[in-house]
Amino acid sequence: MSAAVFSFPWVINIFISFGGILIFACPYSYCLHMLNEEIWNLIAKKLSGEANSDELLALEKALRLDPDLHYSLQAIQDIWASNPGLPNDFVEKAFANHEDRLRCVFSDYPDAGSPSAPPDPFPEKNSKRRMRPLLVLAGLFIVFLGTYYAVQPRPESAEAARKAEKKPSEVSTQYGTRTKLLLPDGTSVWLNSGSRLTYDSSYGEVTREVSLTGEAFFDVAKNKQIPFVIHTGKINIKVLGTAFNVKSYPGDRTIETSLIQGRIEVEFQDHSQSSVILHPNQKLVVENNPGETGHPAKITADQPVKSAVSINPVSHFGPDSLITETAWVDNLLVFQDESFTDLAKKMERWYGTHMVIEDQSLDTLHFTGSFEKENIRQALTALQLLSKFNFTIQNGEVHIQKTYQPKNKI
Amino acid sequence: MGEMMIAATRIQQLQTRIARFDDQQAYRELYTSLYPSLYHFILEMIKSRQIAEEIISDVFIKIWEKRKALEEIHNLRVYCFVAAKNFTLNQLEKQKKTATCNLDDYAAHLQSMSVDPEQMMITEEMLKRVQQVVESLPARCRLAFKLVKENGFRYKEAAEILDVSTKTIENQLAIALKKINAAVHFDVCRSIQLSVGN
Repeated sequence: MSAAVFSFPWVINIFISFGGILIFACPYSYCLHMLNEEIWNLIAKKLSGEANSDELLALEKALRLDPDLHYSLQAIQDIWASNPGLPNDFVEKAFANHEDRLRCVFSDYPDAGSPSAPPDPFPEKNSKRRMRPLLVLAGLFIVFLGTYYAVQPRPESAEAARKAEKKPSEVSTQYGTRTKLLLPDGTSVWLNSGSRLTYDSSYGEVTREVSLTGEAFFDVAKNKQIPFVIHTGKINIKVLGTAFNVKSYPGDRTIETSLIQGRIEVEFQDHSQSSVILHPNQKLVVENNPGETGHPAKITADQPVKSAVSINPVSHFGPDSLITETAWVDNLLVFQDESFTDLAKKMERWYGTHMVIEDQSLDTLHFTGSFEKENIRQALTALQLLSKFNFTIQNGEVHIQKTYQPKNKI
Repeated sequence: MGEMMIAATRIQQLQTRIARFDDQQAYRELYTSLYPSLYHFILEMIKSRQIAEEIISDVFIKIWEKRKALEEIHNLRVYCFVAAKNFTLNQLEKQKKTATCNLDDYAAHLQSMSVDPEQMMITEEMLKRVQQVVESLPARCRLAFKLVKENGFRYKEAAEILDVSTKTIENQLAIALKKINAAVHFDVCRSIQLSVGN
């Protein structure tokens, strides 16, 4: 295996270092030097999950200039996955010593084994809501500490490991939370709120396939041998290595794929129409048919229905002309000329708060803007500056009402 | 094999249980789940396993003492690391007069980077070299690197623990990676030559 893996970039390196000599002869060598200093910062940020999308793009660019770095990156990534632990009995013994000390200091600290422990007020089995963050963290654990470990059967938990091998890995986010994960091949995925990403434990070995419900930004590690495929709603997205955003929430009117860099191919799962190739800064919008929005999983394979498809440019906003479609990766909630209903849906996911628009006529209002650090009350108050409406927040639910207008009494 | 990193949400639950119900089970879980990372962290600064255990015990005595106000602590994991750092610095101050170094302790510490190289693209030799590089980094740089890499702290949290700016953490990590790369690179070149030779 190592021969195949190592020899290929070796060939490339000759070309690049040849090119390198030419480049260094030109007056831009100073820039390249700067880049080299900055690149370790970018790599550290990528590995620790601190990098935003701009920095990832910058890193990708830098790596393209110096493919030699791919190796270092891979090796450092492997080392990064290591994490020192301690044997359980070691920790247990330390705790026993600690409890002895505690009892000397606090006479009221009860003896070990006393049945006074109250019931767990957060029973994890009974509540799906509580499970979600744990699932996310389970996912993060798998990803950050290396899926290598997670799928390796270990003697003390061979059964659990066997189960894990069959079950696909799943990472999900609740409304109100977002997360970033790193797949075993180095692909980074930012998962927006209310989204779920699943992939097989064999991911990266023969295939790189993931399924997505919701919204995610992908920065796919390049691997020409194994294309990266995303199954979502009724489309499959094939990738060779690139950065792009997919928005495919069940119940939304459209599935949107925005390409930032590279090239991707979108095919329809029911083969009702030919596949579409996207170029950078293009956005593919596929309409969900009315019947599909409720149950996107049940899309008909027997009765292919043509979907309305359009390709638009991605949109920009703000003085720095940030890309609207991927702003959420930088913790910005951006909306452009969106109806109150659509905005409310976004805000529900963003803040994890249920929103009820009590008067249909309010949907004629359209909003453009962005939120960053505002809480939901501040956000709604800001929206009130744009349009007239009232809101109340009760029991974690937001109710939007029409402004009360007193009728003229005669 | 490394300890699983404890979930932030789980810590918050434990925090609540300890604060409201004096829950010993929760207290035990908090202790055992934070112990390995705190232990390695303290050993970075003071080369004595016994003192490391005592310092962690001190930290958790403080937690039990203050349990009624525990819910007011915004980030308990960071809080524990800050407390551990302060206790360690106090201890170092005390030790200044009677400095001793236990070789046995030191050897145990060097094994802290536990990976199975078979599962990765890196060779055992490469890993050894990386370990040497990491151990030879300046103390602050090494601490920043390990807090982020091994304990999964955000830059902001690592900055809070080490009482430096986020920018400093950023710079320290870049320095660490650059140096590690030099160690890795040496081996990569050799592997390539070897595989081409085949």
